[in-house]
Amino acid sequence: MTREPPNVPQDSLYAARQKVYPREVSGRFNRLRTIAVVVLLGLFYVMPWVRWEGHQAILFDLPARKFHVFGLTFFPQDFFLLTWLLIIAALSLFFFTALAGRLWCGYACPQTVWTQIFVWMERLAEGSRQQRIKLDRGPWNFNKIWRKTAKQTMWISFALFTGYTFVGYFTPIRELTDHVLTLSLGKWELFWTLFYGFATYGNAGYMREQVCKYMCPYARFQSAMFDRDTLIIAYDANRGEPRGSRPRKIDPRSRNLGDCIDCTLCVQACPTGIDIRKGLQLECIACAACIDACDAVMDQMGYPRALVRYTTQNATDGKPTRILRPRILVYGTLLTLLISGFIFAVATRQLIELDVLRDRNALYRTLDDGRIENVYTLRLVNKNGDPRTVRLYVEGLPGAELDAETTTVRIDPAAVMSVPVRVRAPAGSVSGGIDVRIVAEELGGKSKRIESKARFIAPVGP
Amino acid sequence: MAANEEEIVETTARWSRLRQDIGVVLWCSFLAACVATMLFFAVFDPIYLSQDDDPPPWLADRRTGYAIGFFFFWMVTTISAGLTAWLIDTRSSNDVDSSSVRRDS
Repeated sequence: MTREPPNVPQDSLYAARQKVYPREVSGRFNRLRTIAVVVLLGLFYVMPWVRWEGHQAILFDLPARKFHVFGLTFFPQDFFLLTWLLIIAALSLFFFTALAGRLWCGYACPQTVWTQIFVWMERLAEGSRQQRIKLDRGPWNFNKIWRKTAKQTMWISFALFTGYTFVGYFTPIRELTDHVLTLSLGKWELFWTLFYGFATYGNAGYMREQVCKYMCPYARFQSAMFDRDTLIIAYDANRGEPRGSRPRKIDPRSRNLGDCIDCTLCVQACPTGIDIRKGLQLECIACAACIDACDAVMDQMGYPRALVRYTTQNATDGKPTRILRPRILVYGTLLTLLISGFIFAVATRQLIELDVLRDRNALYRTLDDGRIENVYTLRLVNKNGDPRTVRLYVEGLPGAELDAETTTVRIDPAAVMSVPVRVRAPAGSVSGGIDVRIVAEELGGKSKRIESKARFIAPVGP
Repeated sequence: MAANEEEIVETTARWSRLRQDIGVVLWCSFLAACVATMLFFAVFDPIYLSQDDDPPPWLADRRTGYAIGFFFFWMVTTISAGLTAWLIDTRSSNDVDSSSVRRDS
């Protein structure tokens, strides 16, 4: 009783869902979306095939716990960068929402983009809106079976291809292709291909804008970022009302009519099934299909375009629209700082890393000659694309020396290696414990030092 | 005009309450599980699960660890989201502060 949104009658718990048959529109915003779909999905499907210095340019190698992004390799130690990136993404969403409303929803959201492709396939197989309505109402004859089969075949193959591409970001796609062609797909490769494929099929084929209406958290909270200067899609009621049908050639003013001819094409075109003429609604994903539909009608009637248009609340009220306002400046400044900080952090990050782990079995050992020995395991990470050689030694304790099988260690590109080392200190030089520094000095061109603190423990002496 | 009226009804899609609830619960718990999986496995390497004294052979692959972790998180978040949705849905109307009620129409 308390949760029902306004104007929604209680339906039965199992009420059959009515299907949306969005009417196909063409126009400048639809062209814009087509471009967005081609570019974004093109990137998605092509990116795994792009090579960079002999390996896949973007590969999230989860089994090896390494992320390759072009020339850079990221390890779990770089996790804060990922968090940082997510914060940038979230803030960009706020920024663009405040500025231009639901631009993300209408043009860039994967839900929108994949839905668009599935809608195109549906049209290819089942025809226009009217034809689809008729087909669904009609009996299961040969024509219907054939068309439905064609649609499902396209949908399922495209969904599987999508799942396969998705997995290609985690398993090298060339290997994956070999596995597909030789029918030797690993169980997890197969599972995630089907999982992602099924999610695409369900979301883009069936749920579509219902996801935006009922399930998307962003759709609910985006309005909090709106102000009176945010770009929205609105119907110009002053110009349109009173609405009504009329012959094409008459002057609407003579019949006391506005410019809206009440053809309801804007409603038919709406993928979420709302009537934009009732004002801005939560369901509106700002796809601008209603603008394209209405502009086409206005052209036919010989009226000026933009009865439904991109505008702002202030513009609708006849007030000036400000683009630069405190909210935008704050978001913009924060975003600039975060992005430059991120670039700086990536550019200057330590490409050789050294961690020291103390041997847990023994605190120390006294050698025959009286020296004290501590054992550590060094974990060396090379994030570079080429092998690096480091020399290991110890500092901070006079007379102490570092001993290992070899103190000059070659680390493979994008690799992690463990090196057991012993640190020995002269008898009586330490009592109890002292912090020493273990140093890995990079050899070659520009030598760089990486050091890590280690606790050296010795017996408490007199 | 009558034909138009019919068209409008035709385009109005609405999910049943049950379907909405299931959708919301599954989707939000899915998002939460994705975040949890990412955070968790950035810190913990699933390979250590197989360094037990007598690990089952199927744990040797990190991918198994990731998948189990993800579905475990999804299960937990689904239970939490589902219970929350159910408790909010079924709370007594006596206990709802009338000033905060969103009334129908």
